[in-house]
Amino acid sequence: MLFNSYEFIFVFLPITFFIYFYLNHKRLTEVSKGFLVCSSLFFYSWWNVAYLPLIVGSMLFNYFIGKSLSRKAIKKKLVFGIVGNVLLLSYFKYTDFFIQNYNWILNTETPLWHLALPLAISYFTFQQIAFLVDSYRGETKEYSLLNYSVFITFFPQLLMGPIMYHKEIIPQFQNKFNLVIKWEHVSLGLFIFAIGLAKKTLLGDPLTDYAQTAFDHAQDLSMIEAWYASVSYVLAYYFDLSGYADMAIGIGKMFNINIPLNFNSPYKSRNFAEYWQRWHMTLSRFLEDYVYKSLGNNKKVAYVIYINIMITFFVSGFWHGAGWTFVAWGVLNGVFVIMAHMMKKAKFKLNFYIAWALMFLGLIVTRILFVSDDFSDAWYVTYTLLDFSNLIFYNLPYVDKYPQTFYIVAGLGLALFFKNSIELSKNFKPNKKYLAYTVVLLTASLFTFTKAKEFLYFQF
Amino acid sequence: MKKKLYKKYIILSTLLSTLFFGFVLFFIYVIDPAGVNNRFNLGLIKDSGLASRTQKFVEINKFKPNTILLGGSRIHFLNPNDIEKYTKDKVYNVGLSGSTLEEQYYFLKYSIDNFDINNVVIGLNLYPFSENTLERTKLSDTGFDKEIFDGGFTLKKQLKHYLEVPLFTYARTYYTKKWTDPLYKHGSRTAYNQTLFIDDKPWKERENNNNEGYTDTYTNYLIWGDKGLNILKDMVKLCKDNNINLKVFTTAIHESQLQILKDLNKMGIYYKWKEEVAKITPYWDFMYPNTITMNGDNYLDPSHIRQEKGYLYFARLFNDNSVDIPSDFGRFVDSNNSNEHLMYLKIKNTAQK
Repeated sequence: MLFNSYEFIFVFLPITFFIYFYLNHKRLTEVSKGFLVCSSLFFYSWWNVAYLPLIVGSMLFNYFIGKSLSRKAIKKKLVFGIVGNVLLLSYFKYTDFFIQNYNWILNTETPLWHLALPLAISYFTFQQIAFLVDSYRGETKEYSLLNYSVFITFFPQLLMGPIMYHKEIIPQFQNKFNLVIKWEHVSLGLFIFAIGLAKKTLLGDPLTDYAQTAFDHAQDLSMIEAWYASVSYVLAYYFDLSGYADMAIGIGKMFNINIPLNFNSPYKSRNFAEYWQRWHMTLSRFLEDYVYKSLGNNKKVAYVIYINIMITFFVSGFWHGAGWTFVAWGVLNGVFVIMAHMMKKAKFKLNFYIAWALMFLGLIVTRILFVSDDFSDAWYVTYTLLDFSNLIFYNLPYVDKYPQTFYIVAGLGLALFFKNSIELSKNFKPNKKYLAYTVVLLTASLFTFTKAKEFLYFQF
Repeated sequence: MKKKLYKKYIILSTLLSTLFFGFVLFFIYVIDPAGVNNRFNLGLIKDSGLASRTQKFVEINKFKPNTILLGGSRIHFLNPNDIEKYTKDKVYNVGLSGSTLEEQYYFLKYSIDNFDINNVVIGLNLYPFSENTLERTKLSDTGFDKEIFDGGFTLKKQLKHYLEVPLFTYARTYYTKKWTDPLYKHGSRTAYNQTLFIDDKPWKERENNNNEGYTDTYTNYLIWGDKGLNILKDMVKLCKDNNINLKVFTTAIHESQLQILKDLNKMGIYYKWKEEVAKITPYWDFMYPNTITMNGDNYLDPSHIRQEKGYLYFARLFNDNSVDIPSDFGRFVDSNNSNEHLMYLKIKNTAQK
């Protein structure tokens, strides 16, 4: 079920909200949690019920391994648990990738399996790996299966994160003060949700449409079209992903659950190191805590740090997608981050505007790599950005001159010069001004649902 | 006190958003630009073309025809009254611009399953038989929706329709064109609609514009394949299994369109197509140089024959000897005389060159 759908907004969300708090009000806290798990699984199954056993099975597997690890930390068991998760993810996500490479190396023609990727598998796999490691480190307490199920399935974050840790969510569900409706939280949540919804539907979706159409004909783009398409994608990803995160945070607030911040105006960064501290922050946190730190967490020897950064970004690229373009994307991001670290170490500081322009150019190049079908398309579009022999001002079928320019200018303006949703929410008051904002954003978004697009990260 | 304020904010924001949304939706429902519900008679002229597939699906369910006329935009211009005088029952024109055979199959099956169908008339065009038609229709985005035939015009589909029907385009066109008469009747475009289609443009301009589009279509999308033929086979079988009187004909395009095929060296596909269709069903062929197709006055543009000339098709199809039809207009083709007919066409087409 999409957040930007009538069934979610008018049926699922209000019914789940009121029944959950009604059960809590009747002091049926365990039943209310059970209800929340069932509702979340229903929310998940709306997409394809066939994968319900998969998420439930994965949950049970990790719960019992984690429980046993929290009693006795056995490394072999931890490795078994992690390998189990990785194998499940690999089966669905990487089988065709491995077959393709096998075919390429050995010049064979083994047919691809074309397995559909179960929704959210990349997210709940990471979340559960984190749980196993935390259990091994003794950082989890003995929680019940019901609590664990709430942690994994809680519907606002189930499909696309933010990636949360067991230790930061479960105590919130166990806090008795969170079991009653808090209208100030609900209203704040509604405000943040409205912003996220508008970001996704009013900016993210149209920009995605323009960019996708152009990238479907990547090799036909002229210079101006390449710029329009690339910048549209850069902005579309931000508004789509951060819109989803805002909606998740907003719904979490309604349920008195603080979901961690995931995007903090990343396009205002001056370099890639800063960018990755502001972009998909919970993924960066996960990679730092469970990949980078596990590589030794060396803070002294520069080249070791750089190698570890590269390995971490390699994992990130591979997690994002089963393709060499994603791996290259990860590696390129790693290179940019290392460059930022090197400059910092050398105390070399560029003028802010130059630094920002280079950072944004880097974003465009890496995003092109991320969204292109193959290296040939990625190279063509990147090259075309600077190919003045391909600069034409007429017959631009992949640019929708006025509307697309409007969306790009509006998107850039909002991403660069305005407060982000969380900053805005800090000043939230239930007055006429915020009421007007919320009503306008919600109403305008409601008109877009019939053309609703899935969130861009659903494919991961 | 604060708690009250928060509650008020929540109630007002959800209520007002829903109300505004509902109000606009109701407004569009009342205006009903594409004439889908026709609940409120405000004297507005509706433009079914804004959502032709949906409108046709809804209208045919209300109309419950006994005879249907299937095809693309060339069929869309034909007047059901010209058939009604032969079938003496309720005739509905299911012609749709850019229609594929798959779409026609769905409308046919749905009509047979849901109405008391006696006669089916199918007007064939060449390009929907192309193996590449799907690519072309994807580009033209016809809005064909298979699901509607199974689930019907559900609440969700209604919502989608009213939210997506281009209200502003409707208002702008209404204001600029100053429509005075209905644009559609019983599924077909009206004669008044035809005059708007021509838009006072001289024949040469209409010919050039239309043929430019077809040159592109034939160049890029006309590729031989049997997908379309298989769908036609299924359509013929459906009619046969349900004892329906089926009449098939090829549309009489202007000779300049045949010239495009010649120029593009695609006449092989044209002959092969006619040969294969004859193996599936007998049909009346009008798509070749003859008195009607060689005269631009009979056409809106090279692709579309004028509605006033449509009766000639049906007089031929229903063997009406009382109508004065040019003797070279229409040849009956079946598997027995198919080769002979192809020889005739080749001579005609060569002579025309």
